[in-house]
Amino acid sequence: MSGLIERELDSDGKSKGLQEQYATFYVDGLLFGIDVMQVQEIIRYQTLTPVPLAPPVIEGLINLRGQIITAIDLRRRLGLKPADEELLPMNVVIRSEAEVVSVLVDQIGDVLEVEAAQFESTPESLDRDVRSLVKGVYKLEDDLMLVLDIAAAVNVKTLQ
Amino acid sequence: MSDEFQEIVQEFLVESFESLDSLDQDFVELEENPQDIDTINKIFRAAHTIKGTCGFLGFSKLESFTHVAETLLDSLRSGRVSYDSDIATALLKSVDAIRHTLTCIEETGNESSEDFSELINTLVALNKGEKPEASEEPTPVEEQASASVENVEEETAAEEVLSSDTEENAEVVEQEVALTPSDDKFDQMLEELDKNLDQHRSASEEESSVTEVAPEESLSVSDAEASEPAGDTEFDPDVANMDLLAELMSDEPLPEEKAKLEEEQKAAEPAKPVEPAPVQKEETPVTEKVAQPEKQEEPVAVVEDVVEETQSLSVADKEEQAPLTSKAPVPSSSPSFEREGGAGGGSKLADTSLRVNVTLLDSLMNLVGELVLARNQILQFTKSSTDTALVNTCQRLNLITSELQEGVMKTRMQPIANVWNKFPRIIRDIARGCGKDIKIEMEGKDTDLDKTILEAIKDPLTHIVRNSADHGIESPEVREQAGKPRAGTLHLSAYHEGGHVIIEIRDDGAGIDAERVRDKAIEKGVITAEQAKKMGESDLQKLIFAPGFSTAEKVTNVSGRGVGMDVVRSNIERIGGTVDLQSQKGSGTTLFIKIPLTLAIVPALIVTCNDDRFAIPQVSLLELLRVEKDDVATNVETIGNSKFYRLRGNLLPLVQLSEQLKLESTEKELTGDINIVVVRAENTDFGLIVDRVHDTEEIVVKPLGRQLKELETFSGATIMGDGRVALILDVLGIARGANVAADVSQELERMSEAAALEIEGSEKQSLLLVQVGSDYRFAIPLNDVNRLEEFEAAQIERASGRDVVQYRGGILPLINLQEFFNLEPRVENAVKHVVVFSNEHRSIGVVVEQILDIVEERLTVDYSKGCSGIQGSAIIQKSITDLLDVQEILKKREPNFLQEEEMSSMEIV
Repeated sequence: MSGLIERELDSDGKSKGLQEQYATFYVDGLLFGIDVMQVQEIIRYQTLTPVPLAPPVIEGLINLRGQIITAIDLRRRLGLKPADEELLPMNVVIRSEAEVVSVLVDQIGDVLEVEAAQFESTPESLDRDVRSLVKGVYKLEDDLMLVLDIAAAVNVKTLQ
Repeated sequence: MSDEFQEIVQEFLVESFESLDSLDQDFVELEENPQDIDTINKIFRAAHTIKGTCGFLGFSKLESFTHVAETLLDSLRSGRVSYDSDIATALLKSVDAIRHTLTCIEETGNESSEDFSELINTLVALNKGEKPEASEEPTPVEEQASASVENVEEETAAEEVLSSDTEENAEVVEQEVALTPSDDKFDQMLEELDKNLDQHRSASEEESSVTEVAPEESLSVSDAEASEPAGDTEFDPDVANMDLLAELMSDEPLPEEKAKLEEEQKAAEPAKPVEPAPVQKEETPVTEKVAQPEKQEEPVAVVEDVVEETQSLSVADKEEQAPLTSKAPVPSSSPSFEREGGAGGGSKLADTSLRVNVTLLDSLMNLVGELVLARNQILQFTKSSTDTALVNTCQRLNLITSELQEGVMKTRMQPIANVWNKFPRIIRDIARGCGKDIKIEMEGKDTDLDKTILEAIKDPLTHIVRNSADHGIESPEVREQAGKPRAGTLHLSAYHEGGHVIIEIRDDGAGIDAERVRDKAIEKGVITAEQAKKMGESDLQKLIFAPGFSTAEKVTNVSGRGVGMDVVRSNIERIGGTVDLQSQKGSGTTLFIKIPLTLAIVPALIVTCNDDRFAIPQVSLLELLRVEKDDVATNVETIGNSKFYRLRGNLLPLVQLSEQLKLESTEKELTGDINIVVVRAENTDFGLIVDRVHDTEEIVVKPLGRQLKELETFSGATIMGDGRVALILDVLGIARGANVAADVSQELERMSEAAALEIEGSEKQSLLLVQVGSDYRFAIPLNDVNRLEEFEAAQIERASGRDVVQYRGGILPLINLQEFFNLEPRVENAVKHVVVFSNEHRSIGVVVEQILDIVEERLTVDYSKGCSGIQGSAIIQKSITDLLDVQEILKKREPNFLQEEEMSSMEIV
C-alpha cells in the first residue's frame, strides 16, 4: 500500500490509456476513491494535536516527518455520524493544490482500475452533504465507488 | 525567446541589480571624496558591464542610454570633468532610470517605452560643459562617440588596430546621429535596429563560437610573447560579462554550429584580424589595464547598426578578459571557475560567493530540523545503552547535527548593511530635495539577520529613515536658531541583545510635538478629546502608530513622523518584532525596533492548558507570576466579567487561556494557585492564566495549513522533542480575541463608553478608594485616573513654591490632598502614593496616604457638598466615603500650572 507501488501501477495504467486508478477507502460503510496520483502516502493513526477554536471537521495536526499536516475528519466533513471510539482512523495523506492534507478514513481499500464506461454522475439519492463532495460514481461489480472531490473536501475555511 | 536566453537575461538582471545597489553607495561616497579614482573606476566598470551586456542581449535602448552615462563617467575618470553634486544627481538619476528599465525587463521581458532623452541631454550637457572641443560637434551622440574615440586614441596602446575600427564606428554613428534628435525617429530607428539585431545576434553568436577558439590562440600567443601571466591576475574583469559570455558560448551557438559553419568562417574572418592584435598589445602595459579594455568597446556598443565586425570585436574584447582573469588556458566554459579566478583580482566578496535559491535553503532548513528531532530520539534510546561504540557514534552524530544546524542557519544570515547601504543615497536625495544638511552614521553594519527578516524590515526601515530625514530633521536655519549644528545627524545602530536584534534609528531633529499629534489625532477621529485628556505625552506621541492617524500630505506639517507609521508597526509586528519610540520635543526622536534573529527558530515558553502544550514566543513575554491560593482573593479583582491583577500598583487585565481557547472543563472561578504569564501585545500588557509553565525551548516555527490560517489565536505550530505537535500562540490574536487591547483607539473607545455609562448613574461605577491622612477615605472615579505611581519621599523636589517630582522626562506637579483639605494628623511616609490625573494639556499628581482598593458599586451619591473639591458622599463598603471632584481640584490649580510652564518653559507630562 505504499505510494511508490501505486504510482508504478499508475504509470502502467496510463499506458493502457483507457483506465484510471483509484485509491479506495471506506468511510461509514461507503466506498470512496481518489485519483491515485493525488495520494502521497497512507499512514496509520497518529497522535493528533487538537486545534482549539478550529472547525470541528479539523481533527488536529500530525507530524509527518517534520512537516505539520492538518488532519480532516472525513466523517464529519461528509456529515456522517462519528466513528466508534475504539476504531482508530487511518491517514490518507493527499497532495492537493500544493498543500498536503491528511484525510481520516475508517479503513483502506484496494487500488482499483476503473474504465470510463463505468462512470456515472452522482445519483440524486445520495445524502446532500455527501453529494456535494462527490464528483461521480463508478459502478463496480459488487459496489459503488464514490469519487471524492478532494479540492472541495479539504476546502475548510476557518471563521472566527 | 529560448529558455536559455531567458536564463541569461535573468542572470544579467540579478548581476545588474546588485551592481546598481553598490553604485548608489559609490556615488554618495564619491561626492564626499571626488578625487577617489578607485571609486570612479569601480563605478565606471559597473556601468560598462551593464552597457556591454545590454548590447549583447539586444536591449539597445538601455545600452545606448548607459553609454551616455558611461561617457560622462569616462570624462570624470580622465579628469576632464570634475565631479560635483549636479553630476552626482544626474548620474544617480541615471541609475534609477536603469533600474527602472531593468525592472521592466524583468517583468515584461522588454525594455520600457520610457523616454530618457531628457536625462540623456542633461548628461551630455554636463559632459560638454567641461569640454571645449566638444562644442564643435553638431549632435550629442556623435560627440560621445568622438569622445570615446578620442579616449581610445589617447589611452590605448592598440592605436593602429583600433583607429580603423573607430573610423568605421564613426561612420555608423553619423547615421545614427541623423536620427537621434527627434524621438519619433529614434523609435523608428530602434525598430530597425531590432530587426537588424535579430539577424546580427545570430551572426554574433556564430562568431562567438568561433572566438571561443580564437582567444585561446591569441592568449597562447600573448602569453608567450608578453610572458606576464602574473600581471593578468590584477586585471579586474567584468564578471557578469564573462559569465554570460561563457553561457552564450557554451550553450547557444551549439545547435546552430553545423548548419552555419560556412557563414561562421566568413564572419570570423573580419573578426579575427582585429582581435588578436589588441590582446598582444594590451598585455604589455599591465598597469593601465584596469582602465583600458572598456575604452575600445565604447564606440562599438553604442551603435547597434555596426554589423559583424563590431559585434565580434566586443565579443573578442570580452573574450580577452575572460581568459586573462581565469588562469590563462582555461576557456570560458565553466563560469564558476572564472569567478574564483576573478576573486584573485581582488574585486570583492561577490566573487567568492555563490547564489543559492532561498527555497533550497528553506528545504535544507526543514531537513535539518527533522534531523535534529531524529537525533533527539536516538539520544533517548542510547541513554540506556551500554554499547560504547553506539554511544560514541551517537555522540558524534549529536555534535555533527548541531554544527550542521548552525551552519544551515548561517547560510540564511545576511548583514543588515544589505539594507542600510541604500540609505545614504535616500538621505542624500531628501537632503538635497529639501535643502537640508544631513549626515548619516551607521553602527553595527555587520549585524546578521535572517534573510526573510531582512526582506521584511527593508520597507519599514526605509520608511522610518525617510521620515526622520523628511520630517524629523529641520532645515539648517532652524537648527542654527535652536542652537544645534547645521547638519542634522541620523544615527543608525544595530546590535544583538538576548536573541534579538535591536535597531535604533536616532535623529537629532525636532522631535514629536505631542500636542500637535493630539490635535491631529482628534481631528482625524483617531481619538476623542475625552480620550486625549487621559493620555500622557509619550502615549500621545505613540499615536503616530495608530491606524488612520496619517494620510500622506497632511501630516508632513506635524513636526515628527506620521506617514503610514501604522503600516510600519504592523509590518514589524508581523515578523514578531516590536517598535518603540522615544521623543523629546526639540531634541530628536529615537525609534527602537526589536526583531527576532530568525523566524525559523525562536525561543519560546512552553505552557500547558488542559494538558495541551502551547508555545508562547519569548518576544512577547514580559514576566511570569505565580499567585498563591491565599493571595488570589486579595490580588485578583473582578470587574464585570473581566479579571485584573494588581501588579505594582497597576491593574493588569487577566485572560484565562482555557477560556479563550474554549477548552472544556473551564473553571470560571480561580481556585488554587494560579500561573500568570505576563505578555505584551502592541502596547497593552496582559496576563495569561495557564495551568502550568514549563521550560523555554528553541522551537522551529512551521506554518499552519490553509484551513487554519485564519485562526488569529495561533501563529504557527512546532514539533516538540517527543515528536508531537504543539501550537504557537499569537499573543496579539489572543488579546484581540479577549478584547484586551485591540488597538489604542478601540481600547479608548471602550473606556469612554464606560465613562458614559457611569454618568448615567444606573450602571456600576469603578472607583479607586484612597486613604488620606490617617483615616479619611476618598473615592475617585477610576476612569479619571491615568496612572498610579509611587515615589520616594526623597524624589520630591520644590519648584515654584510647590512639590514636584521628575516624571517621564518632565515635571509632575503634586497636590497633597492632606494639605488641600487641611486634614490632620499629617503623616509622613517614606513612599508617596500618587494618583496621576491627566487633563487636556498636562498631568498632575495627587498625593494620598494609601491606595486602598478598587471597587465597583452602584452609587447613590448625596450631592450636598461640604467643601470644595468634593462632589458628594456615598456609602461605599459600608462606610461613608467622599467622592473627590478631580476637575475642580485641577481647576483650582490651573493658573499656577500655566505660570509654571511659562516660567520653566519645560515640558510637563
